[in-house]
Amino acid sequence: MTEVKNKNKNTDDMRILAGLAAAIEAEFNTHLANNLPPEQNFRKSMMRRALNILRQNLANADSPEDKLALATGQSCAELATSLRTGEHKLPDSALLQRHLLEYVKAKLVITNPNFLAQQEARQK
Amino acid sequence: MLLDVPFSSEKLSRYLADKFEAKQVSITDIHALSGGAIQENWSLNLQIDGGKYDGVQKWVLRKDAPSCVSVSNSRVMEFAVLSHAFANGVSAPTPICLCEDEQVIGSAFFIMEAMAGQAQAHKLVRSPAFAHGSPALARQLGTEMARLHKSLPTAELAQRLGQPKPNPQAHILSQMRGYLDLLGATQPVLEFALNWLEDRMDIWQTGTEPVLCHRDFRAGNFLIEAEKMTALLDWEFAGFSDSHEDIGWLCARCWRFGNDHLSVGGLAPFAPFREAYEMASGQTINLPALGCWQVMAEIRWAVIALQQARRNDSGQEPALQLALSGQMVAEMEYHMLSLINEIEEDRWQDFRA
Repeated sequence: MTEVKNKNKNTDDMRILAGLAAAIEAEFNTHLANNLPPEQNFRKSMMRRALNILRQNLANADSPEDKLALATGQSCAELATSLRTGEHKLPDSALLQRHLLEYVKAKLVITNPNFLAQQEARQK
Repeated sequence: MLLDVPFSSEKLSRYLADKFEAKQVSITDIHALSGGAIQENWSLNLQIDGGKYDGVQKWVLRKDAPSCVSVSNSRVMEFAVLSHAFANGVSAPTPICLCEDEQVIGSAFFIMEAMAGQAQAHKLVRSPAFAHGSPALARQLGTEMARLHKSLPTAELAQRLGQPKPNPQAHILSQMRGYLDLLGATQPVLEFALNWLEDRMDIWQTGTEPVLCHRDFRAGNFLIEAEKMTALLDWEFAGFSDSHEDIGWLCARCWRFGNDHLSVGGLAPFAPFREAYEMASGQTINLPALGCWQVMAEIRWAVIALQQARRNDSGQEPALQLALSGQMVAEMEYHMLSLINEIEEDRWQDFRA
């Protein structure tokens, strides 16, 4: 029961944060971005990229790390440690590679979905 | 114009006047150059009256950023390598002077000639001149890289750089694991890729003697004008290694800026690069080993990106550019897993004609 309550609270928090991020993005795009001189284009693109990442992060309730843990039965930290010591629990390397690739794709959905789309098209 | 400069331009003027025995040095313009998340580069326009550099000069001052990453050399070392490369005919900015006195601008710095050309790789790869790749640029890059690899450092420079590691592959594996430990980073994909390389040591090792490598020779770190490289910049990572490390870095997928089909920095095809490099160096490029160095390039850039992000996250140097570097790690991870998969399944096409 406690767990459910916490999850609900987290969902509420996430919604509030997502709203705040959307407001910052709208404020930036409507009132600031167009008034910046061309020499600030790089900073402008960094701001947009950061806001995109924030928005995607808040929209994805399950973290890539959680998904990887569910797939491998080990937390991200445990898996990294067991790989270092050569003691990971998965039966074969190919399966591990597949889980890791899914984990990376889940991270890219948040950090750079365009990159993921381009690379996936390239792989086909 | 001088308001945002975080050091005394008067002190700098006085230092330069003394250094070059000029009557007066006036800084007519100074501004920060973009890029360079690890070091700061400042464009200097000078009016010098008297002495060796009498007249108008356009120089670049390079100094430490407020914090740095573990893998970068000091400005003193970087100036020594730049001077060596320049003296050996590599296209690089003319080195002007090194100042180790931290009283002048707050940290050691060096000055080099400002060179013409465009460095921004994102712009270069979109330029019509490189739409289909430039074989001429590929040949020049091959020749320039070979020139650096063939150069013999003086005893003094070699001593500063440290003895070449007899096994650069084992050394860099251990170095990357050490950096991950220092960061306290739990990175299963990087650990997996490091293990994969370790398991392929027999393919990865070429048995060639370590040479002086730039170790950051890539699009974005050289200036291009009219399809020619005018200068190779950013010598902060230089050191002895297997020559394939430089080639793998230049051809890494993470440094093609979306022009994935052009293996040489997203700007040029591989075949003319290879031909020119092999002719100028007298060394045959080992493609299976190069594939391993490509994987290592992705790992190394990921580790540097994590280090850059840590500079922000730690509060040492809050900066959006540094924070965003950390958000790029998944891109390198995607490349390394794809490469590993393609190599294992014999689908790897990067250097096939």
